[in-house]
Amino acid sequence: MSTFLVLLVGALIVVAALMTVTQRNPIHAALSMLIALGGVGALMIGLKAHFLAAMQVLLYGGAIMVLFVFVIMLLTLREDELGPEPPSATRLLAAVGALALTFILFSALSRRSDTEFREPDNDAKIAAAEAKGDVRRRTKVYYGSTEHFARVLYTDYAVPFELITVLVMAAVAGVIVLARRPDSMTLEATKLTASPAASRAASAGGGAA
Amino acid sequence: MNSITTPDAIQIVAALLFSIGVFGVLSRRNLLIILMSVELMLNGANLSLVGFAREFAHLPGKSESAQVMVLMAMAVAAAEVAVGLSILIALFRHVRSVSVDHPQATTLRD
Repeated sequence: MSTFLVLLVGALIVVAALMTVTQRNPIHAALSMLIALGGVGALMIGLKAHFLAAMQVLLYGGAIMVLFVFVIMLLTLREDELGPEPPSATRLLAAVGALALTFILFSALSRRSDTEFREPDNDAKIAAAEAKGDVRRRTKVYYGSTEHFARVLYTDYAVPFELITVLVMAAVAGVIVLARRPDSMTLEATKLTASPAASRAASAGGGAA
Repeated sequence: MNSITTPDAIQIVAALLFSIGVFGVLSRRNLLIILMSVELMLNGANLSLVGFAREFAHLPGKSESAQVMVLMAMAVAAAEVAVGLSILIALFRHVRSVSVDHPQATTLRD
């Protein structure tokens, strides 16, 4: 992957990200973010992270973006509900802080050795693994292949991978509790009833009993 | 432009993406945009990790570990967005505004 291509896609990502943080309309910001996330996915393909590029499109471009757009459409915000933007002095301070952070990150980058990407020596890796008796590396795999990635994920990182299910379950429970209506916090109110009024009556009855 | 190597270009893009996310979190008062800025910061960190994994792929050892880490970060990001947006909905029900500077926004408990 050439440096020019990286910088071209990078410029697209930076412009889209800047539009995301400056747009007033949330739906415009969400669509700009979609472009930035897609650009990051494109760079991941160039970095031989093919499975992650697919996940970037499916998870970020699909699931997370749908969540954002769904919430924006659900709220149908009016102009006054968006709230006032902070004064320009606050924005200036934020810009100064972000520029300072950029300077710190760039100064860390300037101390790196300037070598290009080298092709991973897969044969040497497999030979070294076989010499150590590691049978998991015996298949002919190359860096970045989904097979190789899956091997690492399901052997070395099987436990963290399974623990993600706990995290997602906790998130689901938290979302249900947080996004409920305040008047439907009792168990009776969760049952389907004919009308909202009947639901409230059942809730009040349950509270009285 | 020839002086910039491809690994450095990747890290520059990642650093800029992260900084823009920080700028968004600091400068906006709309909770939706703040959550999007957090997503941009997470993406910058992920891109940096994938870039370093590719840079050191020729060395012995498992540089795919960084890619596994990015996959975990994506799962955490999905959970974080779901919880963050439900907090946003709770805030909006309470004060009819998505501004975090709203006078009533700090009185979510009632």
